[in-house]
Amino acid sequence: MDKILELKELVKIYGVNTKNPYKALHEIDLSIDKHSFNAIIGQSGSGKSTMLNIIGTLDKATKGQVLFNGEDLSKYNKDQLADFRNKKIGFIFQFHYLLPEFTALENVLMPFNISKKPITKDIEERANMLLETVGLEKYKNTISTNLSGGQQQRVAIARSLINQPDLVLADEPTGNLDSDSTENVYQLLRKINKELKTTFIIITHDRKIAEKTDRIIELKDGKIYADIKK
Amino acid sequence: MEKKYQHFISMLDKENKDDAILFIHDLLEKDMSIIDVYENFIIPSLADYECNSSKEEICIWKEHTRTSIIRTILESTYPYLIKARKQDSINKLIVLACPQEEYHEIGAIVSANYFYLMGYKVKYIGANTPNFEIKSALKILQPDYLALSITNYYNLIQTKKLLEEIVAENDNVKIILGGQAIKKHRDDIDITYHYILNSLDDIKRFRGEDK
Repeated sequence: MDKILELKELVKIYGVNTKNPYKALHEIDLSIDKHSFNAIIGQSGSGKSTMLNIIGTLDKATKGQVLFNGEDLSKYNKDQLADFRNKKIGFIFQFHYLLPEFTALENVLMPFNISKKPITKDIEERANMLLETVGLEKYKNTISTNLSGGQQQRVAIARSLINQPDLVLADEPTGNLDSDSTENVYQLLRKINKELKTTFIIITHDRKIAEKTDRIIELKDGKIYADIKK
Repeated sequence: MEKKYQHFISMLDKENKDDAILFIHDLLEKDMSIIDVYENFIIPSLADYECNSSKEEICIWKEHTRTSIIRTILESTYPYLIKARKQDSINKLIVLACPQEEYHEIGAIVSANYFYLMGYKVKYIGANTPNFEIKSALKILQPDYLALSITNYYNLIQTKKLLEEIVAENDNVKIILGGQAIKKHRDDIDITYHYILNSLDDIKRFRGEDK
């Protein structure tokens, strides 16, 4: 199986130049298959979010390499990283971060508005298609604050896919949802994984999500404690 | 045997509970051994089960229906186990359980019955047994072995932690692991155990070496 992502001896130390540096990640070696659906679990402080932020280029490793489709991201400058992040990676967070004064459709198109690229007919069609995929085509013109928590999270999922990313990083995507909405969001992520072949890495505390993924990676004290493929 | 097995499977496929139970009892009344019934009918009927529907939710309840029929067969045929139990019993106790959140218990029940047939004292303490209750059983019963059956691979992670704690707290108990998750993933996780037993042959061999 081809790898989309490889972490090689990844180390993250916070406060390197202080009296009490804290090593959050200890020489992590990990590779992720293309089109796979993965869960990262672990207690608070285990290094899950640190690792996800480094993979998403929102943070930098102290040592080690992150290879994306074989390319070493440490060689990218700031602009190249921003471009990479925008084109290749989709983010879903526990809180949806939708802009309250905009509609569902406008929120999905927000990555284009921010990059000041023209919104072509093709892009608008794609946004509509994504809203249909997440089951919200009827609500596309609804202001986001008039949607339920589960619906808002589905808009955030559609927004994360607008640039057709190869990899989606989801940090507790169901953390704020009830169990029915959690199941709906899981079904949706799985559908996107199957139909669009998007690779997923999902940080979750929710066993109902983790046990349905194809691979569970558990972090403990900044190290891989268990790594099981279904 | 194959023809009889296919007949049994067709009854299970049709979810014809009464006929399936009566069929197995008829085999036992006609002198088939309880071990042959387990090995040639009960275990394969679950292990070989394939859902014909592409819809996950249909497959889940259909599998549960089949499991329910098999569970009734296991319970209703227990007197045959009592008759078949080895006379030369071994004075060792095995506590069996499925760990927390593990609801697939047929494998554990079959294992418990096999250990019983081999002459062990057996206490099956249930599916989805919380960690503190497993620890409590170990403390009170002081068994020679703790046997855990794990089917859902997520539960390997929970069980790994539990076993690390148990081994640290108990010097004497030996750990036996079995189940689909162990069969498939034993090399993927550094889990504590003394024995892995996944079949009647494994249990017979274990009994032979356990003096």
